[in-house]
Amino acid sequence: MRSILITTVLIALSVLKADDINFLNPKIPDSIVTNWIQESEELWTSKIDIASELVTVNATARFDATNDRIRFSGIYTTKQKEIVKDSKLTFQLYDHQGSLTLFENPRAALNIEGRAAVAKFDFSIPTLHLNHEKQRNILYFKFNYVLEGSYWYHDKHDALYRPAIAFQNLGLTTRFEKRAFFTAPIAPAHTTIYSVSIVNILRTNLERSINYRQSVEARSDDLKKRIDHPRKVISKTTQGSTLLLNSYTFGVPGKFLVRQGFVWENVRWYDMDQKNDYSTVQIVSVTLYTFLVFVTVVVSFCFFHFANNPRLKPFRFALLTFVVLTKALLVYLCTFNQLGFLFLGFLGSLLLIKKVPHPPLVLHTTYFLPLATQEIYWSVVFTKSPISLQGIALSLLFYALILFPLTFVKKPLFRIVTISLLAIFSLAMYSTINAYFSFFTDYPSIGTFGNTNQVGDITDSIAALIDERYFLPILFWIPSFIWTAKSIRLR
Amino acid sequence: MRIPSNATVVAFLIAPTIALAISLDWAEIRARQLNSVLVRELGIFGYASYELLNSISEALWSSELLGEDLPQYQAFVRERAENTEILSVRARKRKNIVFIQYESIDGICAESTFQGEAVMPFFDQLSAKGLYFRNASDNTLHGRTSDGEFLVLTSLPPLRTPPIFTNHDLSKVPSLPRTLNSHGYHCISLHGFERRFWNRSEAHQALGYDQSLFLEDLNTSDLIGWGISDESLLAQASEIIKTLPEPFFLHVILLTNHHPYDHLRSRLGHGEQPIVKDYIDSVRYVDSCIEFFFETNRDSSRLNNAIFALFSDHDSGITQEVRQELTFPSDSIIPDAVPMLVLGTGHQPHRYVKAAGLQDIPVIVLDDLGISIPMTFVGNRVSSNAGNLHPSAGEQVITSELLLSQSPPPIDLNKLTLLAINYPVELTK
Repeated sequence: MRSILITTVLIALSVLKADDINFLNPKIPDSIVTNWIQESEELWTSKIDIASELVTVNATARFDATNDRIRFSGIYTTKQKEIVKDSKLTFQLYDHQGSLTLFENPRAALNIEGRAAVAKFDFSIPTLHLNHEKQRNILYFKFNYVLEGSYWYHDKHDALYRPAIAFQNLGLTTRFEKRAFFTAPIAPAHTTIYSVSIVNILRTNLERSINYRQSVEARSDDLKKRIDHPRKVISKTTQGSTLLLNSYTFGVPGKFLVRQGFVWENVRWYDMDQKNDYSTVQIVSVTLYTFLVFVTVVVSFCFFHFANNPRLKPFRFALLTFVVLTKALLVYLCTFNQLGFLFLGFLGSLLLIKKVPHPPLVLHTTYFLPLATQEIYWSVVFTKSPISLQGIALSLLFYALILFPLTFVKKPLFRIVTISLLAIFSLAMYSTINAYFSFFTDYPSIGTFGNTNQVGDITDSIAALIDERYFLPILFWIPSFIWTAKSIRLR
Repeated sequence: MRIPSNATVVAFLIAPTIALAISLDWAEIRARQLNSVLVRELGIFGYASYELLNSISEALWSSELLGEDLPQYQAFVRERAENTEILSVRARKRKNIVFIQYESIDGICAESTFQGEAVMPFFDQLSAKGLYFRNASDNTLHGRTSDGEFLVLTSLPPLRTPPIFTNHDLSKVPSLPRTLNSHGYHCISLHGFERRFWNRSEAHQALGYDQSLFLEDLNTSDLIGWGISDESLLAQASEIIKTLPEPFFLHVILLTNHHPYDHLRSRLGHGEQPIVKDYIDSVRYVDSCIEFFFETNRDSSRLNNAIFALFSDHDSGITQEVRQELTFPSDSIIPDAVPMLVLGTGHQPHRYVKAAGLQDIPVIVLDDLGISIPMTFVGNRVSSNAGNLHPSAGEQVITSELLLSQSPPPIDLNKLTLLAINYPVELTK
């Protein structure tokens, strides 16, 4: 009994499905449009003439890749006696398998002229839904009639002939299917944030360049405002599953929505499946971000310290779990943004250098690490103007060379004095140079300071430009001071 | 783990430092048009170190300047000053002064024709009305445009390297704006590019301008190539002239005719063509802009009795190619000449064949105004027959046989300029 029921349901379903397909029968087109004449870089046209016993169609299809639409216009004449006054001409769209993809579409009036009904139509057919790997660049179009408020003709006159057209070999622009997107959930303002995405790039014509450039598509929290970010050219040869790396920056704290985007300059953004698939990014101030990282590090350190305390042995497992969790949180906070990477690099170097059994090298690092971190901080994370990797490397090597003689100094007091002077000198140098750049959009020279009265006059204006980022590098000196103080105490 | 010796560590640090330093673009670093270029190449600390070393070496070099040979330089300056001494200082009505500085125009463009048509027809018309120097030499060095400005503002040869505007304190050197300023003039410069380029903003202020307007301060609705179009800049200059307190000295620095000379063509959307054709089209555009400026101000009472100096900062850099295409007068003798014309002085119009240079312009202007010429000005007055002091070729003279004769000057011109910049009082004692 049960098997009979299942069989009956399956037969009914298959009949329904067959009906659904045969109902409008788009897979037997009256015209197959394959030969498109290219009029301009992104515009193709084709003539369509259908002449049957009762229906004639004289039309032109213009595929406009820029707008992702086919403009299908012409004259439709029918002598079918079933057509009644006030009926409208319209159409439905089907995919390559004949499955209905778009039912409701614009109408054109059918005017009764003697024994015939004539419609001048100008339909705009969206082709964006061809954005599927399996779509195979074929779109079925079938005319239909409707008497608004009363009935569809395929319901009332199911055998009534209505022409169908297959649009093939459309000069489609590149299509993109998003597979995955990763970016920072929390990031500081003013610094570069990275995103990684995996995208399927579908192309019908590998000879053509890709009109789109890739970029992070960022919007305000309410989706109303789009925020532009750098664009990158996609190589002409790219197709299939592709890994894309992008970067973006927000100058103010707040909640933003981001996703992998593709932009056709001065034309449009690619509407990725028309879905709201944005990821939320919380942008916080540099100070708050640093505080979060700092607290996570301290908490992790404390848990680790307690885990080694014999009196707390019963809780050891729980404490170690917290250590792992806080470290995971640290990675979560620091991944995908430059300041986070810098913090991770700085903390990693501190941990690494602690293991080195060579005091002069540790001492050298005590001086070198904060200076090098500051150089990278101002040259990469909060750069004012492009600085080459070669330039940064040269600066770091200069530091390493200049600091080398200081490793021979044994007197603790001298070490403290040295490190204090280095901290003061470097903080002053980087702040002055970068604050000056913020005002004059160029770097100062010693002569400039010596020769003009301007700097004195604009001190207030320059002071207004100084923000939290100028004070943050003080943190890089704290471990060095602690180490030096510790080494003196140990002695 | 074996600990490396100190020598090994130092060697490991020095080797990549030297390798990186060698691979740098030193020509660009030395040219130093923008400090940000140095930072890009050297990094922030690298730049600070370079700047510090540069300042120390400059300070050391500058203290050496006042050496044993100072009297020789003092004597040279005194001798030149006798040529330019104002014999009778009369109280004259202070004329307004307008300098129009062309960009990269070769001297042979004036009076020349290309395919039967004059290249600078308006300049040719004007040249018949003033003091026109057919053999004004391009006396600039690495500093190019900034050297051109330095020549015309201080009447001193530019330095061999590095460029003066970006490397020297110009607040002490006697200059035309400073001199005019002390005689009640309002001095203003106008340039359609960024203020930081060539460190122009600081340099102009140090040289004594009361006001300097750049791209950031002007109307930028019409940009061609590097910055504000010459037409727009001159139109804005015409408006500014109406508002300036009199007497004034206005220095307009044009820009559109900049290498590679295709900015105008790009703007017009025309197709590719040889660089010389681009250049000639561009020069014609500049000439038409000057005509527009003079037409606009024809009835201006402020410019009726003004002194105008029209000159190019330096040559085109493609002078040889340009010469091959043009038909030009036979008495254009100096190969890399620049156009140089002074209008509105008390002298009768004249076409000079003698060797001249931009350093002569401030001397001619001050001479006409009856203002004493600072002793450090080495330019020649109109009546002088002294040669042109070219910073690398030496003293240039056009002989009676219309040949160019060059001889080394009695002193090092580079050192002369350094002395004038750093120790003007000591030099003129």
